[in-house]
Amino acid sequence: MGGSPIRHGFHRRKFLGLSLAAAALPLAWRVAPFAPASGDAKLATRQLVERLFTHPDHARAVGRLVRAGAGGRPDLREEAAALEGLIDGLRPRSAARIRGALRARIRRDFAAGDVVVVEGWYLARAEAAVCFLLAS
Amino acid sequence: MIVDFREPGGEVIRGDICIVGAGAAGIAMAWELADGKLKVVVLESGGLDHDGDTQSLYDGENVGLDYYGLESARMRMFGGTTNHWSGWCMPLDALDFEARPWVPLSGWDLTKGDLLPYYRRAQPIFDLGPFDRYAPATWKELDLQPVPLDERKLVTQFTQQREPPVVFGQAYRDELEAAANVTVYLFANLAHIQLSPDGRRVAHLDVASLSGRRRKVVATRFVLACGGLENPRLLLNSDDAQPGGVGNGHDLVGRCFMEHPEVVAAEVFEAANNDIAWMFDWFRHVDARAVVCPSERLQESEGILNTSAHLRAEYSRVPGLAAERQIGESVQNGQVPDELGDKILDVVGDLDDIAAAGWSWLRGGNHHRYRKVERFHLEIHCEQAPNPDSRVVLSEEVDALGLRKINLDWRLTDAERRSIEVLTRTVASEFGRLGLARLRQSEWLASGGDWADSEVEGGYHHMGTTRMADDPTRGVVDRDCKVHGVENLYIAGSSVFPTGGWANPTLTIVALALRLADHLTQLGA
Repeated sequence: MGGSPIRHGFHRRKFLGLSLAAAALPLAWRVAPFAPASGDAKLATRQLVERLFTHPDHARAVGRLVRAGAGGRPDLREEAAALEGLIDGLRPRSAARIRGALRARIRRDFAAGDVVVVEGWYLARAEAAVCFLLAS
Repeated sequence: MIVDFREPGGEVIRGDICIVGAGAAGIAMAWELADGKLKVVVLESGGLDHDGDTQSLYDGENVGLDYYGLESARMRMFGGTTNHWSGWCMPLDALDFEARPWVPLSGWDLTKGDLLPYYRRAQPIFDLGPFDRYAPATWKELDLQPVPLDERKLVTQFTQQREPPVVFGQAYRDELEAAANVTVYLFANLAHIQLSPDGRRVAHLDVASLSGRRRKVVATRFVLACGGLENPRLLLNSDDAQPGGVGNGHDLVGRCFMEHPEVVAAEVFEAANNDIAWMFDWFRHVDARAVVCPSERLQESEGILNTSAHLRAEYSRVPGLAAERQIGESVQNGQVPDELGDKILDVVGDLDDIAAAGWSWLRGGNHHRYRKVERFHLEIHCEQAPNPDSRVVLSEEVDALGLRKINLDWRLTDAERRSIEVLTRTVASEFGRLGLARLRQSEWLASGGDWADSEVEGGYHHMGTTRMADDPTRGVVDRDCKVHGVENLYIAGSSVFPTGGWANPTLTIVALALRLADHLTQLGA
C-alpha cells in the first residue's frame, strides 16, 4: 500500500500564503465577528464583504489569483457583479442575513459541483467570486 | 503430505489435478480439494522459508512506468505473497463485472451474483468478520452516524482487514500436510509446458529444481496459479508447440496488465477536529475501514473508472504521548520507567493531546493512540482500464532454469488520471457542502497529471494478463478459467480478471479459486 507525498517545490511562498487564505475561508464563514446591522448600512458593499472574513487579506489574495488567472480559469466578473447586487439588496437588512445568503450560495455551488480550482484549491464558484470582488 | 522435490523419487509424478504455485489461489484450491476423491499434486517453487536463489527467479526489468523491483514485488515460497501482505479484503462491486460502454474491453462473463456464493465461502478462509460488514450498514455496528454524503455522487463502503492477516502458508500448512490426497512438492519449478502433438492438451509438465533435479508431472488437468506476472511468463516461454506460447493464438497473453494505481490526490484541511477521522480510522473492534467511492451513477455520467478514497495521515511527534506509552509499558512489565520525572513532565505538558488521543481510542480508532495527526492527505486507489499496450513480454535474458525473464511495460492513460480528478473534485465539493474540510490538489494533479511525472505506486496487484472472456479473440481463458484451445489447462488468480475494480484482489482470487475447485471436482478424474 503506497502513495506519494505531495510535492510543493515550486511557488512555495505563494502556496504558503494561499494555503493560509484558503484554509481560513471555511472557518471565516463560520466564526467571523460582525458589526451591528445599524453600522453596516453605512459601509460600502466591499467593505461589508471584507468583514465577512476573519482574514480579508487572505481572501483578497485568493481574489487576485482568480483575477490574474489565465487558461481555463473562469471569468467571474459577472458572478461577482451579481453577488454585489445581491449584497446591496440585502444591506438594509441584517449582516447575518447577508452572511447566510452567501453561505447558501456557496453550499449550493458545492452541491452542484460548481467549483473553481485556484492554484489547486477547490473553491465554490460564489466563494471565488466574493474573493474576486474583494480584489477588484 | 508436503515433500521436497529434490529428494529421491520416481521420474514421473502422477495425479488427477496438478496445481502449479502455492500462493493464495493454489493453496485455496488444494485446501478445498483436500480429503476429496481427486489426487492433487501441488508444485511450489520455493520452500517453507524465504530463499534468495529461488526468489531471484522472479527477476525482471521494468520498461514502462516506474514500478517496484520485479524480484521483490511478490514472494516465491510456500504461501506466496500472503507471506507479506496487508490483508485488506473487499469484493468487487456489481458494476465492476458489467460491460461499461465508457470502459473499453470491460465486462466479465460472470456476474457478481455468480461469484457471490464463493465470496461468502472465501470470507472465513481469511478469518474475517461477517460478509455483510462490507456494506454501509456497518455504520450502525460502529455506533456512528453515517456522514450525509449525496449518495447520487458518493457512497461509503467498508474494507475488512484482519490483524495480523492470515498467512496462507502457515494457516493451511497442517491441513494440507494431513490430507491423504494432496502432495505438495517444495522446490519444484515449472520449466516447460509440454503440449500434445496436436497442441490441444497438456501432455505433461517438465519440472526442475535449482539443484538440477528434473522430473515430469502427468495429470488429467493442470492449473497455473503463479500470479499475474508469472502465469503469462510460463505460457509465453512454452512456445515450441504453439508459436507465441501456449494459449496465445490471439496475441493476448501478457497484455492488459493492470495494477491499482495509488496516488495522493490532495491535501485535506479539516474544518473541525475529527469531522473526517472516520475516513481514516481502522475500527479495530470490527476490523474495518471506511472508504468513499463514486456512485454507479457518477461513474456512468462522468465516464470514469471505479475508485476509492481514504485519508492518509502525516504525523507529528508528541513527547507526552510517547512518554505515556513508555510509562504504560514499563508498568505492565512491573518496572519503573527510566527518567520517570521527565516523562511525567512530558505527559503533563501534553495533556490536551493525550486526552484527544484517549477519546479517539475509546471511540474505536487506533491510529491516533501514540501519535498526533498533523494533517491528512486524500489517497486514491484507482481501477486501471484494460489497455493492451500495458503488458508483460519476454526479455532475451534467461534465469537459472533457462526460462526467459520478463519485461514489464506498465502504462497508464488519461482515463485513470481523469477518474482520480473527478473523484477528488467530487469529494472536495461534498466536503465543502457539508463544511467538513477543504481540499487542495496535489501538485501532480494541478499540473495536468502526466503519469511520467507522477509518483504513482501500485498495490502489488498484478491483474489481467490472461484475461477471461468466452470469446477466444477477447480472452485467454473462458468463464471456467480454462485456457482457450487447450482442453486440460486452467488458470487461477488475478491474471484472469478482465477488469479489476479498485478493491484489493485477494478475496476475489480466492473466490474464483474455490469456484474452479468446484468445477474440477464436478469434472472428476
